[in-house]
Amino acid sequence: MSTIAGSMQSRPPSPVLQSIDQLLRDAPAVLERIREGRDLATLAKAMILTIAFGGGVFGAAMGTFRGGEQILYAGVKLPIALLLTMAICAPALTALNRAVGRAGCMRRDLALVLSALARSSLVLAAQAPLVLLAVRAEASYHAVVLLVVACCSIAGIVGLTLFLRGLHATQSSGLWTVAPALFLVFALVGTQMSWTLRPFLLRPRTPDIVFVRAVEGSFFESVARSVQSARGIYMRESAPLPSEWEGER
Amino acid sequence: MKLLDLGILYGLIGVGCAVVLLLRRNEIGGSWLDAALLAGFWPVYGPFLLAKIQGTDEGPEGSEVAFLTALRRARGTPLAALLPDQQTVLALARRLRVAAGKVQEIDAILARPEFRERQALVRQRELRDRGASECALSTASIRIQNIRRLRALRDRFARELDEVEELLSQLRTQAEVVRLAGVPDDETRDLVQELVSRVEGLDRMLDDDPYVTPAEEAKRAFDLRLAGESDVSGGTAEQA
Repeated sequence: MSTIAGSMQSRPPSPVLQSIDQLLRDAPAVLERIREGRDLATLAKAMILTIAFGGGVFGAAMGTFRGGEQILYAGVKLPIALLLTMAICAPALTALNRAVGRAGCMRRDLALVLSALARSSLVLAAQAPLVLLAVRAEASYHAVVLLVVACCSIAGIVGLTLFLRGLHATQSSGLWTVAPALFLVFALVGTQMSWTLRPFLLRPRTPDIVFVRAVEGSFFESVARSVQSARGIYMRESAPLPSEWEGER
Repeated sequence: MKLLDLGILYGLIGVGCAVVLLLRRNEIGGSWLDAALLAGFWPVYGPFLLAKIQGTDEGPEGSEVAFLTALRRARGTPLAALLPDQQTVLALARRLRVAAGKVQEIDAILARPEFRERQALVRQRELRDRGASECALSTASIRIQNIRRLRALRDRFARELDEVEELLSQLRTQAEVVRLAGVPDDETRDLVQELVSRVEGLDRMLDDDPYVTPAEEAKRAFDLRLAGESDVSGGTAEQA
């Protein structure tokens, strides 16, 4: 022991950092931990911080398209949108589980959704350089919008995979009823939440930066318009400036 | 209700929860980070904190995670030949979790007012000054002993866990050395053996504890003492 004690190394990282490390390196162990309900408070803390970091990095990268305060605003709003969506949707998972006769535990379900979202956030953070590259290459607004949607889709698929594995690890029966139903709830709430907290991506010529815009229209109308605009089919001559937009109302 | 009103209501609830957590920090634990997370995301983080306070969230598993991570990393190196098999590793990790949980459990018990040694000593002195019965004094003294035993037990577990953590740190660096050097030396072999035996030894700690007496035995001793006292008082009454 004396030789061992002689070569003591630095202290191991905190449990929160260990949980993040576990999510990155050993997802099955995270799922096992959730299934057994072990120290979920530390796991939840680690996952919330991961979502805040990952979402913040990607949000800030989106904000660079306009620059200025928008970098901070988008960096703050994206994690908020992710976590609030989760807060609204996760109880639905418990309800759905119970409804189809699966084991439902609020904390475990929250931990599973948090872990899946944290993994997605890490993938989002990893894709932030792509957005920065597009901004640097002076890509058009609609091209950047589509790039962001693609990045979010990839991150979503990664998170969804972990989520499905987690659901399957708990109990395989009723999986294909619960998963699509929750996916639908998550998609609807998430899109509306991000719509409520927009703008995340602002055109560089926008003179005034606002933290959130007034509620108008719906997310789905906006996606359809962006796809049309990306194909060169414009509904109007130019995008309105905030002053004009206020006037339209 | 407008979005702004909803936001204000949400914020107020969050800030309220965070303030309660901070005010009762000494009793229920929790840090500034916990309070900040609770204020911002109380619907998500609140249930976890509540479970932790109620004791339904199983204890810290930092040591267990560190143990599993260190061994998993070591598996990718020539050290793998020296490591125990997966089932043994999981069993050892479980022991670590149990030991870490015990430390936390004892900490929670010692944080209760009735487990404060100073208060127990003051109470014993009060009883002695008041001329209380032998039985009451003896009970107060058992209480003090139990508090001391708990503290000693907690220290032993904590010390063992610290040593295991240090061994894990060394294993992590040793794994890197072996990875580069290619062949594990005797020191590495000793290190792995020591680590395994240390974790195995955690199980025996409770059994070996000289302070811990079985509950039945303690109860019998207490009953005997009570019976002795009643005999003495009965004899005195008869004499009178």
